Amino acid sequence: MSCIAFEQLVDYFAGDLDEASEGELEAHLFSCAACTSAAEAVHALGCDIARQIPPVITAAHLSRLRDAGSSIRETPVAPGADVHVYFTPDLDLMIHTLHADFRGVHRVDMEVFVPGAEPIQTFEAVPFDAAAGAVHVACQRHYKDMGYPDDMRFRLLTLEGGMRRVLGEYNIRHHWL
Amino acid sequence: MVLPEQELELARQFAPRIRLYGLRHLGNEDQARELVQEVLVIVIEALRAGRVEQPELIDRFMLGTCRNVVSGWRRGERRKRTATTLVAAAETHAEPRQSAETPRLLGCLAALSARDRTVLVMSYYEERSAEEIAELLALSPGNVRVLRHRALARIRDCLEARR
Repeated sequence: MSCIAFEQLVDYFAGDLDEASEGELEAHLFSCAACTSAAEAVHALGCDIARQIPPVITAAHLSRLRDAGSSIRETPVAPGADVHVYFTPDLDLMIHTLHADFRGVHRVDMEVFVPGAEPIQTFEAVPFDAAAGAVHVACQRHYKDMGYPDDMRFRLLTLEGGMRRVLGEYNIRHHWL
Repeated sequence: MVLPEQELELARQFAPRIRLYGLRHLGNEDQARELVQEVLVIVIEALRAGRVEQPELIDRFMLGTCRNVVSGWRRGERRKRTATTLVAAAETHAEPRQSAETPRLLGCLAALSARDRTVLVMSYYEERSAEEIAELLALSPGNVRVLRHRALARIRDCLEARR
């Protein structure tokens, strides 16, 4: 049982503690085996999350994955398009590059849904490449077993003055091979 | 090189703590590992030479040494010490850590609210500060920290439940 609260350990590794609190926490860590274990667990949890590929990635991240030798198929998708994508065994990752006009846009949200239904997932403030007009959706093999439908619609939208403005909708039909 | 049992035990006890300090202040596993080597060598040499005035407060001496070494590195003073025996001794008794399997972790992430997931993605994937996230999401930094705590606690509990 840790003497240090979970929240404090989270803040510690995020660098969010003031100097005095951080010093006290560290002094305690160096004298307490239980808190050392608890701190290791918190740090490890953050690492596990960071190690995953997020559902929307930056162009820089995509570039790093390619440089690292990942087998990636990128499919450009224009607004209103209805595309079929094939996750073949040779692929590590599929990237659905959703194109839209991001001029004047400061924040992009993404909804994933089956037409006629409420969004299955909503992603706020996703990274977007304004110059290239692109959002890179990282479709990963394990999504197949997570209960998502094979045919999904993606919606990119922005908030302007509290009002939603749709930037584009895209139908993507997944075939897992 | 054969180390006395007490020095081995010291290495085992403090290597994880030095590593955590290194992860916090240096930001990566390789440098944290170097810090473990450096600090253990300094402290054990000091103990052997009788330069530790209060051996019963060895934890404070370890922490102080961590701070001094990191400060020195930031000023550009870096010596690469080889302390493989010490580090190996410290690691033989360490429990190997099981990473959370990707499908289980992603399942837990998917179960979060959009807001909670966004804060975690921005914190851990994009490595944004609470202040940066607050600005993007029109929240206060304090609010972001609370959301981060809650989201991470939910992930922890979810992973535990799915074990």
